[in-house]
Amino acid sequence: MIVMKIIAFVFFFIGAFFIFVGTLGIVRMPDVYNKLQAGTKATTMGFLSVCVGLIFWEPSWILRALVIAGFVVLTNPIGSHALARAAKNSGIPFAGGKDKLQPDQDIISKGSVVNHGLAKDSAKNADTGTDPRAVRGGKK
Amino acid sequence: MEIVFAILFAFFAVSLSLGVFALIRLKHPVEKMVSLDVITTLITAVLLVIAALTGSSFVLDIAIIYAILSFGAVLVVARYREGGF
Repeated sequence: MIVMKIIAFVFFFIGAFFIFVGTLGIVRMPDVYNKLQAGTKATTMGFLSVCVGLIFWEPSWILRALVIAGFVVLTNPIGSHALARAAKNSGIPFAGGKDKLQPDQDIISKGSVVNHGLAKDSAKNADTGTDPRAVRGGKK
Repeated sequence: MEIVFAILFAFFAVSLSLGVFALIRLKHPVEKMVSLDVITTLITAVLLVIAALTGSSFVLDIAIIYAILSFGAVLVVARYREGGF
């Protein structure tokens, strides 16, 4: 019986960790859409883990724990979706910023090479590679 | 046994204080509602742990009612901000 309690504690701590990660995402993420992403998914996972721990803690409560888990799994994405629609229709802008891992987006959109660090690297590798964008970047 | 529950509730208290900090600091009402959604999920999980601590099963009923009411509140406020009414 003590083994079941220890397993329940492990699941409780996993759930507490995931809920902590969700609230940390609420504080740290730059955008309301990113906040929804972090806050809903991580807390749903943590809540499911707490429900599994509750089933291990007291096995006669399995029906109510499953009802609560099913309800939260069904309704949490609905609330997240409604909040995302409300944020979009309220005119909250997306967080700006450039995707630094894809410097080729500048080449595709503008037709000319903007000198980032990574574009210079792709121009350096233009002799061996067969990428036409990289060759054009090498000419400039 | 109780000290493990104390550590667990300390974890939940840190999460709850982060959520309340976000709820106070964020400006837009939809952002406040996002943090409130996370806080309600956290409180439902805390209710489940309280049910495990006290061994009384009616706390689970409170958790069910709390989940239903918080879902309705989030949905109503989201539809209101969207202009659905």
